[in-house]
Amino acid sequence: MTPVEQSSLNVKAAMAERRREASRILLRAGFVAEAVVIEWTALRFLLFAWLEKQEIAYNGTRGALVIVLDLVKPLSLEADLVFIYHVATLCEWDEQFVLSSAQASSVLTTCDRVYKAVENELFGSLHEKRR
Amino acid sequence: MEDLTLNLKGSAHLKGVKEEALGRIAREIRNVVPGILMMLAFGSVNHGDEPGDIDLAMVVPDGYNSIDTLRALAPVLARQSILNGLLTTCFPIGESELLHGKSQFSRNVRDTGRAI
Repeated sequence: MTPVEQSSLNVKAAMAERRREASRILLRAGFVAEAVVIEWTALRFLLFAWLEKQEIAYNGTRGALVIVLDLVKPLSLEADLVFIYHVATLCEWDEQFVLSSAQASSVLTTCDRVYKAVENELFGSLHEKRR
Repeated sequence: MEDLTLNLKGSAHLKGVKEEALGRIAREIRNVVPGILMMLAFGSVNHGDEPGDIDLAMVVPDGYNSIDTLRALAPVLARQSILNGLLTTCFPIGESELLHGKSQFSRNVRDTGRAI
């Protein structure tokens, strides 16, 4: 990877981190569904960066997800990813969907597991140095 | 239970995704989630030669625990998505919401859903 490409990845990772921080703030303030939606956008951001790094073309979020599901299968994270996608979609689009604070925390824990694994795939030991 | 017979639209021809495959997915979901009142296929799976994805809705009694249900269902949907190369989703929808909901999601299911 060229220094420019690495720099671009770092910028994306930093943006994803900011969204995750926003998600935590929203959760603490009681905006549970909103916290899940923002957390999902952070994770999605990282997933897109992962595909870009591998120069894999995709068509939209749903197209990207199918590809990513294959990629995360060796990490046994495909069910987690599908779970997060469903909950985030319901949080965004279904006004009747109710999520407790405890449930949202559990969803965010699942997000965190996937996020860290993808981050590790993206940056590996380089990420540890970056921190 | 209120009558769930809706004016469900959607053509019967599914060229890209066979009825048989949809039926298999629905059976697998029913095995994991007891108490489903009705399974509906909605969105692009009901029209076009090559659906972009498989969107299903499971009609559940009002007050159903959606989070636990989705957690249990996720491995099935992940496996089916990888198997078919099409994102396979299944969203819970309460019977009242299906019949009377005004959200984009409930309208979409109600307007394009087809019982499988």
